[in-house]
Amino acid sequence: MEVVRVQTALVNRARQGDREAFDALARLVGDRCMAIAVRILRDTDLADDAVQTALITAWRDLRTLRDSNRFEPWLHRILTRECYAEARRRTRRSGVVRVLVLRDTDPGDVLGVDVRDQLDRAFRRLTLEQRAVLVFHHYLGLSTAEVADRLDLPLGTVKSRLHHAMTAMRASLAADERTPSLSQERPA
Amino acid sequence: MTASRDPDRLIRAFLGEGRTELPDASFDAVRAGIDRTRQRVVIGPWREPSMSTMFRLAGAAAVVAVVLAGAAIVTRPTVGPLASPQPSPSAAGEPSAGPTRLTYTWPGPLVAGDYSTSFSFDLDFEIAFTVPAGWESRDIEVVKGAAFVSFQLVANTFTDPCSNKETTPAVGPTVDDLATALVADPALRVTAPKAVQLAGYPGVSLTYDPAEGVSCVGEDSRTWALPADRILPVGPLGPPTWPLRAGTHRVWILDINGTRLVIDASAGPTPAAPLSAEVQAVVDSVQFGPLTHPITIGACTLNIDHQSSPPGQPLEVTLGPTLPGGLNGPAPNPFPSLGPVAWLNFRGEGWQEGRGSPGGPRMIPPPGATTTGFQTTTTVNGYAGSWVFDAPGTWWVKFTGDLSGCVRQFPVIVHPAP
Repeated sequence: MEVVRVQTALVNRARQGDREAFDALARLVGDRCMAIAVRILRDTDLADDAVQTALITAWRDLRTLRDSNRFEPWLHRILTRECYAEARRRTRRSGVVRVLVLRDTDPGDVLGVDVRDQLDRAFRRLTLEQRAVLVFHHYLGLSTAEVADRLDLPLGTVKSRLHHAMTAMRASLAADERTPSLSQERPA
Repeated sequence: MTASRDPDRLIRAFLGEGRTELPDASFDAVRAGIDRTRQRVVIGPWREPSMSTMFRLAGAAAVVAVVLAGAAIVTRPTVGPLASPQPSPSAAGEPSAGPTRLTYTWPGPLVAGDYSTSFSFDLDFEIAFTVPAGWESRDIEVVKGAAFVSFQLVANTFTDPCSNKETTPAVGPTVDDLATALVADPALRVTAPKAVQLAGYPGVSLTYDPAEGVSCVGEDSRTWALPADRILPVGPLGPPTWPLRAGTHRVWILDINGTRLVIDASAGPTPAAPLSAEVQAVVDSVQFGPLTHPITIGACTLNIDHQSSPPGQPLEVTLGPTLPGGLNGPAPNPFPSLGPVAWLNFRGEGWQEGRGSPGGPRMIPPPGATTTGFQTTTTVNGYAGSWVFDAPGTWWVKFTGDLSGCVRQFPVIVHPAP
């Protein structure tokens, strides 16, 4: 609760034009925004840009926020739109493909390399809108009603996107079980 | 398989992976951004951008009403040859003695003047146009507020603006094919196509706006897909698409020597007469000419402030006071804590940014150097950045474009501080 009070106080100060307060506010919520954006976009550079733009937009439009207690949901809605916009801007502009950093396999890793690869490919085939719903529901742990509120979507749309996204993700795992992966096919 | 096969658990674990921290430099960039940005003044009761469905429908109806009221201005018919400064029906492929054209770069503000570009398309001609003051470039469109004039190649339409399913069978290649597809699109309210000429080239003109009841309007929606094989390489975010934006759009579908070019223009959802006139003026200024700035995928062009770096010729810089910015304007020293450094702004054309990710720009330092980095400027600008040098010796800068096939490495001789 203390964090919420601090956040609300910073929002109120920032709304009066206090840049130091907004700077502190940004540092309070920035990491969470980055986590969301990275998961929607699957690209840290794009996510970084989206978060920066969202925070600056939030500063610019802060006085349109009616309820200071709802700053973070409001910011997340802006952030999600910036993620969409950033992705589409980059897609039209240059179609950047980034090479993922391969990591060593951790024995305690819940996901194996193959499973991660399957899920990653399935996730990248989802629309950005489906990804966002998936991230807000399964990563942030929001209910579908809360996701609908946060993304300003009808509840039915959220449920539909979630259903399609999860179906696609589950299907990728099912396909993985049916078809040996390339690495499994290689001779030892 | 050692991992649990509970799919939902795996999906949650997958989503749990990844970065969760915003870099310090980004916080600094946000701070710099808010220092430059004034807050919007709100007059009247505060209003969150969120709207209930009912309010959204009422708002949409109001927007449509306003758009219809203003449509006579936005959709002023321009049938027949336009009064462009240099009408030249056979200009494509022929040199013309036109005015000096400015180089079109994006994104960013445009000075008022004449531009000529092929955007990021694989075209055999260039599109020339004139923008008044206050317009900005955004890749394939020039914008001023909500107004825009865009230049597009269209590969196919979508079954629904909310969906990413393309129409099957795909729209054919002719002007009439696309006009017919747009007229048949239930998400659009489209006027009957009229035969027109623009800059001497034949085509049709029509207007469209989102049909009543269409829920997906805005940057997250889709009206048509651009051809992945005629635009700079498409990445993992999918093929480029054009959103269904609110407002009345005037569309010209032209046949430029066999290439179907679409100009989609609008003064925005609530057009003001002066802005509508500017939109029309930009369209009226359009001409087509020979390709003078071809974008060749796989080639690199690198411009460095104040100096050029032809292949094989080292660039020389001296440690000490930072070099003033040139192409991108003055910028703060990105590494103030490192003491004396030299840094250079750069801008690339025909290659992709790398922003320090694998496959992107790399600096190969001389022995003894403490910096191994590459730093973009803090603003969101896909093709600009800066390199930092912090030790004397011969550095190498290597740029590798992930998809463009562009690999370039050149030496930078860094002299000690005087």
